[in-house]
Amino acid sequence: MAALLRKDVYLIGKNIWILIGSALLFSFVPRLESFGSTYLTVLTMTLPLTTMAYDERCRWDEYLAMTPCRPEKVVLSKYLFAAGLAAAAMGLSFLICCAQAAAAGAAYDMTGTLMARVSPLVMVLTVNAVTMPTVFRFGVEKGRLTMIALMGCIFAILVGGAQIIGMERMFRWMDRVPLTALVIAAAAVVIVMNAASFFLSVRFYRKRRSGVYN
Amino acid sequence: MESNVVEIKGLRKRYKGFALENLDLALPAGCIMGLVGENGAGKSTTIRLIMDAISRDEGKITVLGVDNQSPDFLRTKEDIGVVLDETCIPEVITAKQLGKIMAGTYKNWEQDVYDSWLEKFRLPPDKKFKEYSRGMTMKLGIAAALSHRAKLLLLDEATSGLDPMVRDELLDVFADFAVEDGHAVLLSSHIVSDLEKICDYIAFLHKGRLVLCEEKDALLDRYGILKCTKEQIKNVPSEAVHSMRLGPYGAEALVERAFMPKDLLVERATLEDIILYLSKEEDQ
Repeated sequence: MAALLRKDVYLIGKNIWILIGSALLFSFVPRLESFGSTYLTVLTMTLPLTTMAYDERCRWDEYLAMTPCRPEKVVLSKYLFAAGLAAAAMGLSFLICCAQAAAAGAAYDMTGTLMARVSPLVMVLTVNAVTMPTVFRFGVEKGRLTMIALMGCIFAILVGGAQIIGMERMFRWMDRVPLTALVIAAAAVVIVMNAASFFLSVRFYRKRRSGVYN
Repeated sequence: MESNVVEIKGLRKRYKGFALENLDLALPAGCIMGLVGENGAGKSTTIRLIMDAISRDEGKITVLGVDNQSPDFLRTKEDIGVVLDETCIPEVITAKQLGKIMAGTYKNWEQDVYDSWLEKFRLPPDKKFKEYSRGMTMKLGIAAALSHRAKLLLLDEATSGLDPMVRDELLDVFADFAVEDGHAVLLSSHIVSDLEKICDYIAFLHKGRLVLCEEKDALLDRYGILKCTKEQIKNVPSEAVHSMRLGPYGAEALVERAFMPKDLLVERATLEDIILYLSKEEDQ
């Protein structure tokens, strides 16, 4: 498993520095914070697909099928890589903001900043849960299209909702729910979706690897 | 009694437009078997089936004494080095990085052995895979396959597209590997001259069917090339002639020496002659 994660890190190579650079840049420019969060979200969603595109192009999975690597481990490594990347990017961005506020000695809304990172993280993990089985079943290109379509739907709902009823009214219900309950509910949804997605992906990956879809 | 490293019985695999039919094959320990056949004959399919990388429709495969569909086979894969026709390594990976990935993949990985192969093959450890030549990519794949104490090497077209010097160097490596106790090599190729150089056994696949699987020396002893006039060939017993070519100046045929009259001169057939004539016979 560690070897597979290591390989994915090698594959994205310099993109890691783009990710870190972006997290730094957007955290230091307050007006860009919201855009930065979106940018980081999209970047962390596309990088796992980049690694899978590399794998697909060189037929890495055919090679893995010859090694003692279990299909479950291969699939799990992709989920962990995607989740780890998103969590690391958001975590880094949060830490930079905290450090920045501490250095300035300013009053700091830690919960707000944390939530501003947790919500994109939830979105990344939810989108990945839908995208991954598509990639394992139909390949990276169709997986990428699924991801774009899903992102389009999410943004359309957000932008459309904001236009029609206003952003504040749309999320007013969240003020009535305790933050802890919100976080637990989001975590539960993410875990259930990813668990279901993982088992589906393993099923697709096994079939794909054994040539059932050829 | 010598044991078989690979045993295949009644293997069948069907795809749309292609079928591997009723394959029986045994690779004894200490031997190199050449799997020969035209493109699309089923060589790569056979290797993938041996590794249970693709599902089979019928038959049984045992590798190093383990059924390849049993849960134990995953452990057996530790003892099998595989090189595919495309090395299947992502293009931005370096040889050094590949070593670290493989170290986490194989329990028996030997980094010092891998490093020595890189040195022997003159492979730059920090150069990205995409900057390697075809010969270098195959050497890297072979270096990885030889660095985890494998007992069986499965090589799918590992020498195709390489220049004769590199091919010769690699053939020596395979021959040295097979000499070690309990080791064996299954080498698929359509470069028959390579197989003739190092193989002990030849398995000939044609359109998904195993035409022959025999010791190379027995095969070379059994068949010969007869060059004679059209009149002379008419007098040769029909069971001796496998396939023939009639030209304006005479006839040339692949014949079985055992059935040949003593008065006709039969030349030595190369493995390539035998394969070509037999595939022609199969097509007829």
